[in-house]
Amino acid sequence: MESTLKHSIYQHTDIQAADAVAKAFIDKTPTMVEYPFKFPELKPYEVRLRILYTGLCHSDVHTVKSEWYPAQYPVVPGHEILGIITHVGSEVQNFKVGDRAGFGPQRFYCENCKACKRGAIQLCNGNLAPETLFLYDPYFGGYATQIQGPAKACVKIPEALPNDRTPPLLCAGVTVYNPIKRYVKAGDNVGIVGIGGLGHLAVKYAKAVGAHVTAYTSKVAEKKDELTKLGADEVRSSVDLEDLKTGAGTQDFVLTCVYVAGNQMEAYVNLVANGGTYCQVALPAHGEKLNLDIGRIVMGQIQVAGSLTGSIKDLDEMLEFSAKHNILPDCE
Amino acid sequence: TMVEYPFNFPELKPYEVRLRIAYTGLCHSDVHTAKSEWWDVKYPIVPGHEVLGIITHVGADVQTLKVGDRAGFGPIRFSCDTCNLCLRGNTHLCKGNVAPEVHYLNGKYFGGFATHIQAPAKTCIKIPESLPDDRTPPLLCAGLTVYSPLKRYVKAGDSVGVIGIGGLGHLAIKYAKALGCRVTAYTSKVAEKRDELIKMGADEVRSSVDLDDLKAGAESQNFVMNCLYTNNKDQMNAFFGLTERGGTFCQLAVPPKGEGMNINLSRLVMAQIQLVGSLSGSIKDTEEMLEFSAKHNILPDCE
Repeated sequence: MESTLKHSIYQHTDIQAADAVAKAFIDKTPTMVEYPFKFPELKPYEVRLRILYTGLCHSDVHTVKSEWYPAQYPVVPGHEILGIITHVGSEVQNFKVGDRAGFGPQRFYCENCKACKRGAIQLCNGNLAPETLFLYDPYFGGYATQIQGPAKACVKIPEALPNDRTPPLLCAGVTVYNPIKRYVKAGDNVGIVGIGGLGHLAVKYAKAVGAHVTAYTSKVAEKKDELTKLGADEVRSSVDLEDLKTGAGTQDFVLTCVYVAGNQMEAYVNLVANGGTYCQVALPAHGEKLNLDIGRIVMGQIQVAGSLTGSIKDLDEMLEFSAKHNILPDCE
Repeated sequence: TMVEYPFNFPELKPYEVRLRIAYTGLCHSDVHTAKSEWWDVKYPIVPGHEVLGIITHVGADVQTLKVGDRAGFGPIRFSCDTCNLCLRGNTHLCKGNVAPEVHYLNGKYFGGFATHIQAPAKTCIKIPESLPDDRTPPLLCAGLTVYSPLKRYVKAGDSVGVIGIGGLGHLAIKYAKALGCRVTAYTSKVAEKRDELIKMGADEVRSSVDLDDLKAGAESQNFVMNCLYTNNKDQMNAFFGLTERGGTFCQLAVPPKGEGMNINLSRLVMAQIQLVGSLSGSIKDTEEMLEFSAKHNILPDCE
C-alpha cells in the first residue's frame, strides 16, 4: 500500500526545508499528523497566505472520515481561512503583500459555464473535476501555517472584523446569508430550524434584515434565554411534532440548518405560509428524499429550495454586512 | 346534469358591477368542480371563471369601471386587501379569513356559464382594445396561470421547458418565446405535433413520456413548467431532473389531493434548485398579462 504521507501536489519534507506545516489526516479514523511540506511554484494567478485562524466546519469532519466520498489521503481540511498575503502571482491585481484576506470553501471556477455566467460560481460545473473546484482535497486547506490558491477565490477582510472570529463567516456565514438575502424582506416571519453553527448566524442575519425570527430548537427550555439574547423573537420546538403542527403556515421563510430523517422534515416544510419559501442548507447523507405534498405546493404557491454556500460577490457582501451589523459567530 | 336556470340577482352592492356576458372559457377546473371531484359542491352551481362581457350596472362606490366598458373576470372574486399576502400584491393567495366560497369566482356564487354575472369591481379587469371578444377569455385563467410564473422567474435568454402542451402549455410556449427564451416543448406525441409546436414558437420538441430521452435531457432547462401531473413517480422525477443547477422547477397542474413527490434533497442543496408551485395570479398580474398579450398578439388556439 502506498504511503499515505506521499502527495501528488505537495512535497513532504523535513521541517527545515518546509515552506509550511500542516495538520494532515492520513486515514479515516481519522489519524492526524504533523506534515511539513513545500508548495509547488506559485502560479501567476495565485496568492499565498500566512494563516492566522482557520474555522472548523462539520463538512471537514465528514470529509476526513471519508463519510461523503473516499478522501485522497493525506488530507488537510479547513475552508474558513483568514491570514496575511505573503506572495502574489505576477498576474494578480486585486491583492498585495500584507493584505488581510481569506478563503472560503471554493478554490476555483471556470467563468464560462451557465452557472458562472449567472454569477452563481459556487455552482460551477464547467467540466471541472470537483477536486479543482473545492478548496481542499487534493489541495491543502486551512489546517496549516500557509495556504496557496487562486486570487480570484480569495476575499479581502473588512477592517472592522476581528481575526479570531471572522473565519466561520467564510463558509457558515455565507451559507445562510445567501438565501436570507435572496428570500427575506423586512417584516417577514422567518423560522430558523436547528440552531448550531449555521442556525445561530441565520438568527442574527434574519434579525438584522428586519424579520420577525422564530428559532426552532430541540432544547427549548435550556436554550430559550440564550436564543432570545441572540435575537430570536420566539423560541419553539423543532422536535415536538404536535407543536410544529400548530405552527403550520406561520412562516414566510423557513431556513433549515439541520437534517433529520423522518416526518420532522415534512413538518418543517408545513411551517411555510402561502406564498412563502422553504430553504434547505444542511446537507443530508446522499440520496435522502424529502416527501412533498404537491397539491399544497401548487395551491399555496410555495417555493422549496436548496442553497449552497455563495459566490465570491456574496462573500464580499456578507462580510460588509457582518461588519456593518456587528455579526460574528459565537465561538468556543 | 345541466339545466337552464333563470334567476334574479341580489341587490347590487356599492362595490359591485354587473356584466352582460359575451363569452366564457371552459377550464378543466370547471369540470373537476362541477363533478365534485375536488370537494363536495353545493348544487346548483354555475361554473366558468374566464368571463368577458360589457358592464351594465355599476355600484355607487365603483370608480374604475363604467357602464359600457368591456371587462372580464378571472378565477378570483374577492380578496381582503389587509393580510400580509394581499399587502405584498398576492391577492390571489389572500388568507385574511376569507372563506374559499367568497374568494373564488364560482362555487357559492354564480360564475360565467350564464347571460350575466355580478361581482366585486376590484376583481373585474378592463380588456385592452386590441384583444378580440371570442379568444380572450381563456387568457383570464390559463393565460394568467402561465404568464405569472414566467414573469416571476425567467429572463430573456433563459432555456424554458414546457411539459404538457394543452390549454396551459400552448400559451406558455407563446409567452416564453415572446419573453426571449429558448423554448423546448415536451409532449407525449412528438411526431404528430412537432410541426404545429414549432409553428407555435417551440425551438425544440421532445418527448414527455420517453424516460430515456428525458434523462438524456437532464439539467438542460433553466426553468421547467410542468403543466401536467402524473402519478408515475419515475416520470415526475425525470421532469424534475430537467432542471439545471441554479434553476427552477414549477408545478402548475394541480394534482389530486394528498399526492406526494419524493425529491432528492442532496440534489436540491448541491445544485441550489427551487421546486415551486404557482397558482393563477393577482389582478395586477392579470392586467399586465393582458397588455403583454395584446402587444405580442398572444391568443389561445380555440376550438
